[in-house]
Amino acid sequence: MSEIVIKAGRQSIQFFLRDLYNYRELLWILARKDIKVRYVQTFLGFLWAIINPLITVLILSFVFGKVAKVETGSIPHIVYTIAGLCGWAYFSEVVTSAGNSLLQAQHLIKKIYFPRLIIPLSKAIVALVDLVVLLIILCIMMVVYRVSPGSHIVYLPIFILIAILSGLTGGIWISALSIRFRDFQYIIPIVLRLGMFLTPIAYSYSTVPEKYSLLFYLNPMAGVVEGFRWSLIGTEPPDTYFLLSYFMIFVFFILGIFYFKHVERTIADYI
Amino acid sequence: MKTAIIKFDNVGKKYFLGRKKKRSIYQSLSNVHQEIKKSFSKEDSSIWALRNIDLTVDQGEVVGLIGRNGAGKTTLLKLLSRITEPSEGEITFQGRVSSILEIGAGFHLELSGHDNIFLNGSILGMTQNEIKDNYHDIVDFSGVGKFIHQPIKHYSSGMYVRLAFAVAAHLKSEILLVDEILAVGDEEFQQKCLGKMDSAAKSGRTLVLVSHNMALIRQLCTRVVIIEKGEIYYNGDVETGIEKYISLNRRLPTNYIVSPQFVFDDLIINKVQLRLQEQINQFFFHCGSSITINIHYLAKKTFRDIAIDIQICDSMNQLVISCNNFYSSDYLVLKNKGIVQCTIPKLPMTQGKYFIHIRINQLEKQIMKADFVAEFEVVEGDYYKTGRIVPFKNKILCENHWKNIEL
Repeated sequence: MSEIVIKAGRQSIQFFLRDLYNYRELLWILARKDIKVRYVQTFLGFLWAIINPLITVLILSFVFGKVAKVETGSIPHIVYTIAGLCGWAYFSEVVTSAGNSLLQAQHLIKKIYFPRLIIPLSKAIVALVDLVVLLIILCIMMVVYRVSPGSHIVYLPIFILIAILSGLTGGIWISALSIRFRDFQYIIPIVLRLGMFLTPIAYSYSTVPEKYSLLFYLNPMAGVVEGFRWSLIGTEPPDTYFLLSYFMIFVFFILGIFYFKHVERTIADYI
Repeated sequence: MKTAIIKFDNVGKKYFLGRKKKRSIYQSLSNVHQEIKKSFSKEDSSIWALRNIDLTVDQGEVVGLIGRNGAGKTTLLKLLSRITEPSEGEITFQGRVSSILEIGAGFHLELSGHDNIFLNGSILGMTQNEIKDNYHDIVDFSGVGKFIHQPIKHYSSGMYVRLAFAVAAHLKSEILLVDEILAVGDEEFQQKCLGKMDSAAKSGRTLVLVSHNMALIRQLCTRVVIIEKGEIYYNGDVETGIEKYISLNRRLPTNYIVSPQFVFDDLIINKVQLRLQEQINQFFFHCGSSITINIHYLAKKTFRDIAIDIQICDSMNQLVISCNNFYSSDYLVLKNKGIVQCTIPKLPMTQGKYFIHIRINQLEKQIMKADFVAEFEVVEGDYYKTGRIVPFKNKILCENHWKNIEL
């Protein structure tokens, strides 16, 4: 029998993590539930998971490839765009769904105890389904356009991990903040829409004029997207400056966990 | 040797008033100096929902938690279930805690009964293996049968509740918290649930249950804790506890003006009066006499489709009869100011003290719940108009006609 001591005031991080570990199964169950109910009662069902990213790819590829005529070297623009979209699409999906997750689950939060962090964490698993779908679309396109992946493909798991971390960082911060400030529900879609164009998804980072380049280093997702593309289709490797942005993602992730732990205790009182 | 499985050490819970409203950044920023001032001054707009709670529950005990509305029961239950954390003091649990504060919380309507058992079970703290081991018991207990693979949105409300309770009843945690759940389901299922709770207690698990049903408390509990005004008012044996609780309620004046918690939105109930013929505020009624319950209301807007449920409970707070205008006449429309009159031409109850609770529903939705709005006493009477006084073996009398057909 385990002893649980709840003291007014601070709770140790070990206690927080052990509690989270005890409920690890719930993480999978909640993720499975979300995946199962996602396309229920839709006519096209799981096809929506394919149609959605395809349309985004087609729009981006048309605007940047055909209209703006962005140069992508030997790689067809559409393959270039899909490879770039993988990281970003995952990130924005996690930020949106994890960010809203606590508010959506408020009926549960008020009635049953479990580590609240499970809720946003499970959204990162759900979004992996979309990432896999996008990677499959990419594979098909690479076969069609005869683009072969380089040996950098072994680095892909690392970049997936960084994408998960960055998505969760955004998701955890926003879910925790949105309990007190519902404004974040409205701010996030705007930020993500802007981010989609400010992140080099359908164009290369190297085409950005020198004077704006600092701005792009500040965008942590630029590094993730460049990294994905490099490992997938072997474009130019991400700048070493991006190591700093990966590091910052990690720092903000840890800070986010601590902030979440701080607000978790009173979520039920505020929500 | 008895071991303390739950221990509250000088626990208090403070709520901040008004802060709840500040949900936008703008409001927060525009009040920055006030926020800072507030955080420095000790005098802030907070209330202690609970304070100075010292409580120990031993393993295998069944503790009944009772108290009036707003006394702090729910807050205590939320602390016990870890939904919220104390503002001061320390709580120690030995083992896992599972709580059933709302039946079916965490169910997903689109998922099948099977999936919901796993989902709900793990939210309530069961491991996958525990659920798998108990899966067939849960399905049997719920009586859902072949519908188990259907999405639960197609279930009847009875099936839904039974499935939800079946999951909860098979929890394996050492401490189980139950909030007023036996108000659901039919008689047979309620008995099944009671049996389950009883056997859970006998197998050495610890139960804390909240109920207004004194008969249930008497049947199951080994100890009673009364919460009143955020503090422990009584902690001890069941019989004395129930008596104390009843007398706590009885101290309310009969011509009772409803406290603000019974005010809903724009509907206010000023007072409830009992009448015997033309005499107002009668407390003693003869069995078989007529009683009129007058509900004085003030409605700031028009309320349509109103069904008022007048519940008459005995001294154990067990529902004896309920009168609902929807069933016996039709929906009411409440506007401005007025009196809703309900007359029971022939009181069927026998000797004893009775309390009146009022529930006001708009269509299916309950909009007001007012407990103990009035009390009265029934004394012996000539129910059958035969000139004979009925002895009090019965709880309720009914008209009965006799004939002797000689052949």
